[in-house]
Amino acid sequence: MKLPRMRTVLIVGGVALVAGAAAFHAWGVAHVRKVTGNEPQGMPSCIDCHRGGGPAKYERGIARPTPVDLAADPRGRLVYAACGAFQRVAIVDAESAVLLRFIAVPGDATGVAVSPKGDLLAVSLDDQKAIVFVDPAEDRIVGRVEVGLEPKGLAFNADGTLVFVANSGSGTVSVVDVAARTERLTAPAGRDPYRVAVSRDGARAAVVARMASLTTPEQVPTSELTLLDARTGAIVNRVALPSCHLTEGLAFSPDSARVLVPTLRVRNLLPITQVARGWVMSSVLASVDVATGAVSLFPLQSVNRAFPDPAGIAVSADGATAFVAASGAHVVASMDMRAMRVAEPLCDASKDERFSLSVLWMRGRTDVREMPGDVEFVGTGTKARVAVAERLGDSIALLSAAGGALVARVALGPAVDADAPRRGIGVFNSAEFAFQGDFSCRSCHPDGHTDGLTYDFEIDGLGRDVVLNRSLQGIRGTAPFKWNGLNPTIQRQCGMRFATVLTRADPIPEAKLDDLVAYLESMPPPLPPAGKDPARAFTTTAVERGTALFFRMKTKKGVAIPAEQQCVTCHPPPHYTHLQRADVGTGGDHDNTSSFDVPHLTGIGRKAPYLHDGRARSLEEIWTMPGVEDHHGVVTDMNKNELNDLIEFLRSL
Amino acid sequence: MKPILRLAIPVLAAAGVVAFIALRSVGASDDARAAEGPDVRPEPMAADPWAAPADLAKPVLYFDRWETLTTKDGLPSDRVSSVLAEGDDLFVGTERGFAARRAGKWTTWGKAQGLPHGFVTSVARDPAADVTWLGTMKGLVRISGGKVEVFTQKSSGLQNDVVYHVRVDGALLWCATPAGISVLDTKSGSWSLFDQDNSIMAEPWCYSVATGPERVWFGIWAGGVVELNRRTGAFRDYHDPDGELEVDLLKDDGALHEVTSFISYDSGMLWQTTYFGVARFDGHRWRSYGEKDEGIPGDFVVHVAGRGHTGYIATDQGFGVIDGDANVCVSYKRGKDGRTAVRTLTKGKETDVRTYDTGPASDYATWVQPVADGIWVATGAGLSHGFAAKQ
Repeated sequence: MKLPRMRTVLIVGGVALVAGAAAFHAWGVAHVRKVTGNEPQGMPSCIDCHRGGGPAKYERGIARPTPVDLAADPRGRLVYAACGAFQRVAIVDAESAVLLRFIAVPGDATGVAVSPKGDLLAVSLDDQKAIVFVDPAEDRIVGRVEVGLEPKGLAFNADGTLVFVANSGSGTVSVVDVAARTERLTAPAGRDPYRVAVSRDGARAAVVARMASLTTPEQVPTSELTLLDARTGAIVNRVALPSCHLTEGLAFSPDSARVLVPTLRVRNLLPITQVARGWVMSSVLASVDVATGAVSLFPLQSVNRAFPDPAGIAVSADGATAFVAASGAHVVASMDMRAMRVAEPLCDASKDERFSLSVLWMRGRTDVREMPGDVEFVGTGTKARVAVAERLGDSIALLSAAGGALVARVALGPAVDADAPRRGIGVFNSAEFAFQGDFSCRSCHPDGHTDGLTYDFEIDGLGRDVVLNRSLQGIRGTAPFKWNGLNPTIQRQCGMRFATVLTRADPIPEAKLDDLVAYLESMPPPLPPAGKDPARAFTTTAVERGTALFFRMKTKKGVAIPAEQQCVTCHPPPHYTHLQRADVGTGGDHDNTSSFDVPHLTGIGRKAPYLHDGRARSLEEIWTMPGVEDHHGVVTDMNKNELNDLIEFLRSL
Repeated sequence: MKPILRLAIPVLAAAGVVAFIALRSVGASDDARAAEGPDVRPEPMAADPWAAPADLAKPVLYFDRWETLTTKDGLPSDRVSSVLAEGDDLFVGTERGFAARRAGKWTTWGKAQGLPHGFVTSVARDPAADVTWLGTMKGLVRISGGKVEVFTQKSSGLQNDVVYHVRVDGALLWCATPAGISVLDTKSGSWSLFDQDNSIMAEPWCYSVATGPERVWFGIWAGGVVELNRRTGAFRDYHDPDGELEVDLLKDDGALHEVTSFISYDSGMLWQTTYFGVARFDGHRWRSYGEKDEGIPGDFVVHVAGRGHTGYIATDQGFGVIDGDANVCVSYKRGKDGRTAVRTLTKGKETDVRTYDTGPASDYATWVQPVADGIWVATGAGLSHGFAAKQ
């Protein structure tokens, strides 16, 4: 065949190229419109959504306009919603129940706050270690401040000079100077600080820690409420909330005397022999006296009616009514705050709560869409509304502030058929699969992670095999499952046996189980806690030295390390697990076996405590506790410096 | 042209165009984000650690009235090891626990309150966040909001449980231990360690840390002073050129001695204390001060606090002040009558002798801190507060 002439080739090729580019552009615009419901912003590339390969985050059902945090404009009718991985802040007119527009932000928006004058927004960017300031009148970014890892909730102080930011990944609160656009200070704030509130009198800021602080396995877990001076940012008090965890909301009482915290009380020190009547966990409203730190616990559930996964709370301006969301039951309850005050002497935190008392203050429940989160009062008088972030509904429900009836619903995006991972999120966060709807998967695995607590399942003997709850983030490709590696699939892990030993109800239906698995497999591992700061050169080489130690095959003296004792044998990349069981000498007297599923190490820095029973509260303690000399890798020839390098490498995974 | 090239050229050209478009779109989105707001970054640090500020603190040499706090006032022990004053608040480390006086009220912490050991070697504060750090003989302690948290060599990156000195440096916490220097980045939770294996330390026994613009100094037992440029990670060290551990042969020839008991930095001046006197370094020249020639209270010096170009020292023979620029040394010593003899030497010659009715509780001084109205001196018999004499 005679080849075409060069000129012809060039002309035909050029035309084909232009035509192809135009067709691709048209397809891309239609594609972005379809999956996001919005016009393409600028000129996005494929890599924007398909970063790292694999399904786009839109297709996984994650990057939708999911309202994760709300803020009400103090001037009246507007509600701002931080929409997570959608990287937008939605502006909703609560009076007319209309979505006005979105403001684009350069990161995953996990928190939003409005200045006292309503002229400035502060938005947490979860994936950027930063917050940005936004002028809502001009939809323009007007400042950016570096804060801690994975910032979540934030709040302005009363005069708008400071912003308090809960850094969930760092365990700190950042205090940001608004005018100077700088971080004034960082202070410790418990484990996974999540939401912030400022008192009406401007004196105090409160930060609630979502997770219980790390303790030894036999200690009662406590989460923490950090109280700060709202004018200076200095820590005033760190109040322990006994037995509490998964605290995701808080509000000051209007008289600024109390902080109200919906939370779960977990009873992980009891063997799980039943579920009823809060045996495993119950939901309460913790009331903390700001002046004294005294804690009262008001049950949110009744004897036979659970209130799973309490989330956001909003208190009316007169202090008479509060609305609390139950994320696992898809309801918002209204509460009589005055009745609570009368019954307070009966609700001391040192006692077990009396569920029957809840009828005194729980008024009614309003059904909302799946996974209600933050709750905010907006508007005044007859137009006062309670805005509810319907996280899985991608919408904001507007309830009547008078009685809690649903008045309107504002959709933040077009209705899209939910795919398997999206449906799986619903299964994961619903308490319908547990006996009496007591808890959901999320109750122990917030955002698919771990609560860091140990549990004793009855089936292997009371007091036997007390095991650490493990993170589900990044488990794709890491079968087998369960601490003893006996479950080859997630379906098996979460199927019939799970219903028998934990939820004590009918097993999750097969189709929904498949959706659940799809969701679990879609989650990436947690972000590593350590960051490299080029301003401090000496912190970057530790990871490099640690890498060499992890992969070494000889000791410092040149002696060959047996293959079974080399770190990389059991923990090879990419998941840093060889997907088998191993006995590394960590079995205890209460264990039925000493051979455990080798955990994957991606995100290990965020998965404290460690070992199958959680006895090591830090990575160091894996090797510094007695009884594991050179059974769990060869470390006894390392000095402290080298051990630290190894740990810095692990923290970087 | 070969046929294959006739096909290859347009194909390659098309591929190049596609690649250009793809890269341009990525760049465009990044540019769009970068253009959305002002770039807010901290100002770069000063490059010269030896530059003296224009508003150099003036030396205060005389303190004519003293008051002493003891266990009767709320301290857990009279044997006071360290003190830190913040305005009217006081934070005191003793051999039997820690005490804090806030708004006139004392609160004490001992083992019952969660301290791993009663001997508190040093106190450091992050006043903005109201966080207190303690060095103890059995671990590092953080106290905030009333909560006590302990870091040990087994539970954290701390090199050794014996923490001689702690120093807050922005988001970093420096800890001097017998096994080296441990640094905690309080924002990320990462630890960095320095010892004889990864630095130029001759040995890891570190007694103290001083921080300044871009540089950190370690005071090392039998290791002189080691300087770290924390931006580049480069080290340099300062040794006694004598090479003698028993005596200081030549004055002003370098670091005074290899055994550094403490170091302090302020306003372009680094102070080194040893068991053979005190030295200071202005970035170019070392000057040393001893009991015999310069008139410090004693050569066994355990602590120095630099303020401006003045060094306030704690020795086992009394409390002293060194005005380095004027070469004036003032020593405070208790007489047998309980009064305090104050002797001043200027350029080695006695120029003033006076007596005060009150003075530091004991000549065994362990820690000093100059404050706005005078000086705090920790001693083996209580914590003494000296008020500056009217000039």
